Amino acid sequence: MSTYFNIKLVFEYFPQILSKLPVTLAIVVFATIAGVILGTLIALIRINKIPVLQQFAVVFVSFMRGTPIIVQLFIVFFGLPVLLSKAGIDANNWSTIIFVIVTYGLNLSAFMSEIFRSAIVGVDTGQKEAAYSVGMTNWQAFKRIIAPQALLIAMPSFSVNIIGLLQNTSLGFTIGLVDVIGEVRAIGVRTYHVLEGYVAAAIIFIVLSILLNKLFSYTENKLQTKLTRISR
Amino acid sequence: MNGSDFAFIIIAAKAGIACIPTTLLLSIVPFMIGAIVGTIIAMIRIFRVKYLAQLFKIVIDTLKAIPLILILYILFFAMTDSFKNINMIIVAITTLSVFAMVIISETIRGAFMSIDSNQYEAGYSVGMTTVQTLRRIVIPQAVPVAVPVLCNNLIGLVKASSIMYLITVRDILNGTLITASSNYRYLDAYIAAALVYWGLILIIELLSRILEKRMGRFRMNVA
Repeated sequence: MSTYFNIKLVFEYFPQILSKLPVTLAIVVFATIAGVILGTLIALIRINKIPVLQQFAVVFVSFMRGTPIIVQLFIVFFGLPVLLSKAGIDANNWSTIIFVIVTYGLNLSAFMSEIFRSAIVGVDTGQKEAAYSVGMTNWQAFKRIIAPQALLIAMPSFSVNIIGLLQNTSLGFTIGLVDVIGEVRAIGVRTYHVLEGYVAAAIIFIVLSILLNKLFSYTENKLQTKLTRISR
Repeated sequence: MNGSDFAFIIIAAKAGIACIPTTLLLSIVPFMIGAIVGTIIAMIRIFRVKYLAQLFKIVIDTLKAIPLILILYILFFAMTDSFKNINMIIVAITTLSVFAMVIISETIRGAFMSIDSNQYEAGYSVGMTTVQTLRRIVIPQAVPVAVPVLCNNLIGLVKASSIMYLITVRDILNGTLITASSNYRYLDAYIAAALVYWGLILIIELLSRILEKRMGRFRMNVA
């Protein structure tokens, strides 16, 4: 192990570690897409109280919120191939990134469903009644009146969760994913200098978080001005 | 690996349950340290103490952006370098305390910010000092706001403590995994670990709901 910290190495390793950034970003993008779609579905199931599916959704969300993500990651990593082999699909040679995306997509969907649910319920019922009173159908009322307002309510928690997802991707190395952290460890094995790599990785995550935060507050402002313009 | 063995899941879960005290130690001690340091930082930021407020804003925002695993490894290498034969529990508690400090300071700040500035002014207008206003007006209103979030913070700490198995701390996760080291039934061991964490967190959630109810009653009495 490193007996001293060499700041020069932080810069030396930086480009190599940065080259694995697309892996991290791919996980964030695909898991977000999966999480939003599945989360919306779960939220709709729970709001409309669809029997059987609703109970299943409650247990699923509780499990996802009540267990550490690293445990979920390993359950998917070991369990998904077993499950798929029963359906005749061989998943043993799948790339680790698929397991990471599946886990984080499922995990995020549980949190997203709660955010969407409270956001949709949070829109005043008067708004829905107003939409019906002017002859809108259920779907029209949702699309034009409820959804835009719910989106604004959901935005802050949504951004917190996506930034959380970005940080959670750092656990992918435990199942052998070569992302930013995985690369640091690979460098560590070769050079015995690992602390410098972790510091470089920390810098990458700090910059990414700042950029994501900027993006979200920009989107939130945009949404806010757009909505107030409509209401005027 | 051929499916899961229910009997083995029970064995692994029992080993996990036996390690609950370690997980609680890794959650509650950092929670308390985080609550003390986090509250001080939150106060400094709420009252905009010169220089310190800006400094802590940068520190908290930076630490918030670094994944816990990186904080763990950076502290792990720094601490094992400085102190030979350091107990891994100390490294784990230090890491989780940093994490707790960040999230709890944000919780406390959020709770205080949720109190309208009118409330302070009302206090001052009847001749109360800042300390009196805080103690009699602001804190009683901020506590019911903070408690549910603090409970969530504690649950977050319980879940976050699971990564300490990476530095060989024998918590719930490591406890269950050790049982699988002889028969390689890792899927079963992870399922067992998930069940133990799930149960533990459901209990904390239940306690938090009871606490919230009592807080609600307290709030009604004040009003």
